[in-house]
Amino acid sequence: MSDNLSAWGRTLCGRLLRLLFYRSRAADAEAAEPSRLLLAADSYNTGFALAKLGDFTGCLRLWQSLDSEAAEFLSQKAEVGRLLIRALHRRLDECPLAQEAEVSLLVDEFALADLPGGAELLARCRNLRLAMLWQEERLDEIAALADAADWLQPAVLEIHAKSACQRMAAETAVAPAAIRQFIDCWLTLLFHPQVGPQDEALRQTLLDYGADLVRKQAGLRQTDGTALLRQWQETLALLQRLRGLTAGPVHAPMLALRAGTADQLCALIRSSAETFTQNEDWLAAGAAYSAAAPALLLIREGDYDAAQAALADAETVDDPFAAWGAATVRTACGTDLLRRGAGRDASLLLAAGPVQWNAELEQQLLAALNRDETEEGGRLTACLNILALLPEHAPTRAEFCAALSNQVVRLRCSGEAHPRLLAAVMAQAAALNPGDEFAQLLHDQVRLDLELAALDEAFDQDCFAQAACIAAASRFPQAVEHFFETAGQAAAKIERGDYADREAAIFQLEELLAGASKADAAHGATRRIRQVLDGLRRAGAGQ
Amino acid sequence: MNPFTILNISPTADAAAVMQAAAAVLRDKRHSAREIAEARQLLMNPEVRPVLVFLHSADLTSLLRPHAAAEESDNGTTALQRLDIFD
Repeated sequence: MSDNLSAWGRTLCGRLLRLLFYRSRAADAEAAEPSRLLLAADSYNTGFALAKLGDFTGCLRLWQSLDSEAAEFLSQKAEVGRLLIRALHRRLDECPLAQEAEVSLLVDEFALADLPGGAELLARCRNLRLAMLWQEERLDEIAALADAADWLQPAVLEIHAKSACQRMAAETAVAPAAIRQFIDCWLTLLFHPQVGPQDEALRQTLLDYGADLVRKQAGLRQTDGTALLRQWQETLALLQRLRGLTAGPVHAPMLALRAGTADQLCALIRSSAETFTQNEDWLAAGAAYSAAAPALLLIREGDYDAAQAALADAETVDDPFAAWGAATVRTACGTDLLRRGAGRDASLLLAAGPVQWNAELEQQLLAALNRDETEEGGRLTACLNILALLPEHAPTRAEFCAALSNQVVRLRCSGEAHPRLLAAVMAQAAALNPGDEFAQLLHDQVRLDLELAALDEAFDQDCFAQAACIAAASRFPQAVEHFFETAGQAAAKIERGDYADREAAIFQLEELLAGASKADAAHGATRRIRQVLDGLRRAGAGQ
Repeated sequence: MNPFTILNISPTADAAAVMQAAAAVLRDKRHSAREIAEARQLLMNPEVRPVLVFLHSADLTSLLRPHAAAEESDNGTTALQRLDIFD
């Protein structure tokens, strides 16, 4: 018994002595100027003493000056960090809202988020901060935390959605990004099984309230008001549909991406094809949560360049939802390029993959067709390339035919475009609407123009055989007549002696005669050429 | 504007409590009479009231929940052993 007591006494004495030693080192550290702690051993020992006394922040501050990479030191430092995390949790347990700010600073200072349990502490600080901001009605600061929010937590969603709604109700003109955020949060909240309204009548009242807020803001905006209203309607329809497929929460696409539930919702839609009456609705719903979702959201924000850049990510995935989304993005980006007058870029983009023809694309294409040509036919050619993609049964084919015809009439009168381009345009116009008599006549006219131009070009280069071929193949009497008229003039020119070399003149006339005979051997001009040729030959024989 | 904050009442307060609170707050002069009147009117409207209750109340329990850590008898420093690498 006495031995036990003596052993216990020795242990107690030892502990007391160690404690006194640590306290004395800690007191030394407090008294000493930092500059005096020159030796690493001093820093380490003092830090160790502080850690033993439970002052983990003091310990880590001292150890931060040690640049040792020794594994046992790094391990001990991490252990002290872990102890600090535990201590900070205890501080938060005692006084959560008051301690949050200081704890957050310490998490940053010692990079505790990288240690085991640190991420949890950081998340707890965020939650406490959110709760405090909500209680103090600091709505703008809540909105600033949205990017780093944990949207999987119902309470986090609830606070963000309700504060966004309060901001919408209080402020006169809200930024578009904040309105979009409100739409996503509010609708997700109203269909949330835990934090959403449990009563259907209240849900409808709150939906109407949200719709009024969006309508009010959309009415104040000149450019993107319609897009905001469309986002409300589309997201509402999507969530209403998805709610019928699962008892769990359904996030709006943007929040699903942030919360990491997009794949899960995509799989849910994939397995529920039979509940969608239209295949297009099923594809559109799936696309909103597919690999194309980021690009689709960029389109929603009006950032078409970024959406186009994100298109590649969506197209590398072999998935019908992603493919549908990619086609939607391509169509929207192509439409935007047309709107901006970049017809060539639009045609390259739209021709690069599947496109979804819609009223907006057709409207922009028509507008591009009706604009004055400033690119020497470049834009018109680009429009033709896009029109080549027009579905066979599109109801707007007649409208496009008329627009093309009008543009050709204008260009033909002003002489701004080459007949080759006009003929190509009218070929497409006539094919778009075979019943349009005006277009068919105009098509003939520009084809005739093209043949006349080709004949002139051939005669200018003394390519009589080529000119004759054109005339022989032509179905236009005017072109044939033009050939003979020009051929007669060429023969008269030779007869007048414009050719100094008689051999060359005979050669040209022989070629001309061969061509003319091929076109019409009995034509007066053919006979006239033969006469001139005979005359030259005779004159040559007489010499 | 949060009518519950202006009148300093909880979302569960009944009509009588709303009237009483409006009078009390008016005496305090912490808010303008117009704000108080508006808050009172909103909270007395049975159609608007449920929207306001939903909009201005949130269950913070899960955010304020204490940390579920294993209880330890000491502050965890017993296992710390002094290293001699700096000696």
